[in-house]
Amino acid sequence: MQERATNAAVTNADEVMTPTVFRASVPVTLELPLSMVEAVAEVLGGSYDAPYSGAGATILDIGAHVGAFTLWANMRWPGSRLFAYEPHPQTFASLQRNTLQLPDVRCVRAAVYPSRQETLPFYSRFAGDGEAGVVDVLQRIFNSLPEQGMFEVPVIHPANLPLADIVKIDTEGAEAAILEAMDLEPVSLIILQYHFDEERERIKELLQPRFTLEYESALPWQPLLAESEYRSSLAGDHYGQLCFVNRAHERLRPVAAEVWIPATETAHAPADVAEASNGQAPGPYSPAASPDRRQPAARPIANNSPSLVYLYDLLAIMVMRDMKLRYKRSVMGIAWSLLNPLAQLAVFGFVFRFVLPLDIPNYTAFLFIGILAWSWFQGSLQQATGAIVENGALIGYPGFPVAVLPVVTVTSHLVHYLLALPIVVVFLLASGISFNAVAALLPVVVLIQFVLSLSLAFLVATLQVFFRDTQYLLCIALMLGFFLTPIFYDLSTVPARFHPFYRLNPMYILVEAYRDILVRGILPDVGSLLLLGLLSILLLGAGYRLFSRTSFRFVEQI
Amino acid sequence: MKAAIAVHDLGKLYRRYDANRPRTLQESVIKGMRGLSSQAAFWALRHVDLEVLPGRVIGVIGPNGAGKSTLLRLVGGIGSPDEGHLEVRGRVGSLLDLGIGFHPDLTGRENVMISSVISGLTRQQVRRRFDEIVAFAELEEFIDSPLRTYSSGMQMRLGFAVAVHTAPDVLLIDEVLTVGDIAFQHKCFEKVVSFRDQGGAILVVSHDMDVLRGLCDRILWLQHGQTAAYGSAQETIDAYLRHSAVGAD
Repeated sequence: MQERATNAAVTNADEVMTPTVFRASVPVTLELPLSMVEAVAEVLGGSYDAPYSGAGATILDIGAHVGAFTLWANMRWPGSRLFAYEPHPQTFASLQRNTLQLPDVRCVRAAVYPSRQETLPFYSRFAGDGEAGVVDVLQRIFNSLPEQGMFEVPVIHPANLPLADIVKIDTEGAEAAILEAMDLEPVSLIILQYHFDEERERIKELLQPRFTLEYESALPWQPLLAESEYRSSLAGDHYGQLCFVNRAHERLRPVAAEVWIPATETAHAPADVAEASNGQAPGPYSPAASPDRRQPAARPIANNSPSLVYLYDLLAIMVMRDMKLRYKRSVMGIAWSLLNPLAQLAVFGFVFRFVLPLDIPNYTAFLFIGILAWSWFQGSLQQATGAIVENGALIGYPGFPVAVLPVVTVTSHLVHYLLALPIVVVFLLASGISFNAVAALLPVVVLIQFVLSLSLAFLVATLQVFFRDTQYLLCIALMLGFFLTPIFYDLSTVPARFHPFYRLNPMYILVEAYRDILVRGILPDVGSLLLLGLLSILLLGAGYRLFSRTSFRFVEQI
Repeated sequence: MKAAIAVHDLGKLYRRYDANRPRTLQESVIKGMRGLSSQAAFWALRHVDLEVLPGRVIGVIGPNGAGKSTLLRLVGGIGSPDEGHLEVRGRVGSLLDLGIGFHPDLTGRENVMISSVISGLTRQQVRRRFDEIVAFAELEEFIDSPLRTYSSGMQMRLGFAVAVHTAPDVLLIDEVLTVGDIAFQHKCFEKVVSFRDQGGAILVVSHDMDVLRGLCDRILWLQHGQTAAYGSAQETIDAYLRHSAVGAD
């Protein structure tokens, strides 16, 4: 290098200067474990070379081992800043001593890996060997990782690496994961060791939009598998080297084929190299070939939708919050949820037993079942009108699944309903009614009412956002519904010509089903129930669709 | 490279409505649906490009009404863009509204559980982190008292502790790094830095230029909803301060 600089200084001004790359022969002294001599010799022999020249670059040596590539790159691309990453303590000590005299080399004792942890378990078979790595990664290579070879090492997230022109990676299988997580925008050249065919394809796919494959090599794992420590699944798999160049790179100049000479014949310097450089000199790439920056390369869309476990937890916690807040500072607490239907029961019971007597058997149980089912329905819908407009903070919270709010409302009222059921049982037993097998249908009827209520809850919650008098209209509708549904009277007292209209009322079908199951002990009208269930599901789909289609406007409207 | 936040040519149109715009069905019917459409519209944000990689902090500066909060809200999935393309990878956490879901009548313990789940953790995850959250807020002694007995500073501390322990992939911060006393502010700053170092992507709106200088890799300067400058923290802040000092708009 020194010689070239001197020559350049005395050249005549009119002589065209071309970047020339020499194959140097420089004795290098390195501290390293004996088992690594061959591997280091390959690196110093230029196994990581690429036909591009430049100076003053920023170079990352990820998986630096004792620093062979760092030392080599320091001469190959003069005047560069080098960052060498090596987590193994002894190897790192050697790396530091080997690069001690170089002011532009910074050694970092850390593994580079896309993890949110500050440290990760690391495994090394022998002190300073070349197959040490993060445990998660090494498990793909070795059958077992004995505890005694494991220790924690500090970790740097690839996104936090310095912006670099040239990146070299050899981390025993983490290469693709590192590339995916790092900022490749300024990178001109990437040279790496891959360890599996699958990883090679993953890396090619990742880099394809911006990088051209300069060369690649593939060596079979097979000969190594004689050692029982290696996984037998590696049979047929390959490891090797990949070299990519950024199509839009500016920092490095391609070196014409005639002046660039591959360093030495090594196992990692494949025939492809010569072919790539001889076939055509890598010329400057036309800007048109570089992808339009406004059109990001097609990527799989990240799945941001929350998991079912999370949604269940969210529902549970919101229902609990609802229940706790409702009665938090009252002396009677949850008992209030029973008091309201009981009061209704007392009033209607008095009126229709003594004032206007209705001749209905087991009237108390008959009435209470109707009141409870209706309370659940009415309470759900009334509260659902406020589900969106009264929860502005939640609607405006990033990532909050707004659709859970109407579900919370209906579920809270379902809990109240279920809490009151034991009282129904008491009334039934007091009337001398015993349950039979049809009582097992109760959960089905409850489910149908849940779906029906929820579909309407989505509807009124949405309407209320855009029309604030929805709640008053609903109030009127519910009042009419209460009287037009046989809650405190029986269909037999209604003139027959009105019966077809009654049969169109879904709450009539549900209330009658509850009574058939619990009071009369007979099979309910299964046909109507099935039809209602089916319609409820369709209605739920429509309600949810309306809700989710308009939900992006909620924030602006409340 | 996979950006945690990728914003391309983003635009958000705000509509101004007639003050007498019907808000009820009744009025709509009487007025024959007139006045339902917007009268005027303006772009709160337009032609904004931005990429935030994991492990990077991007600051957003600009005068009031420049569109900073609108940008954060859009990235948070609140409202939808009227123009352009927006992609956010992973779960978004927010320091926009501290103490989401808090209720004064519930205890600190109940509120932490509720707020953390709303912020995106499962109940089991909250139980595992519970002690850490309470210790961070320095409220161990009061955690079983109702929230209404807390001072406003204590409530903010608890809200902040919940927000920073929900381990999102993308963190949105809007002027809340000044919660509590100096020691707590320092702790918050440290927490945000460690979140970044573990690969979190951060978008932060602040008027505190010293905080931004210490935290941001790059700064986006918005002016009237459009990008005035985008570059290194130092350069962009200097340019912004010069611009503001001149009083130009």
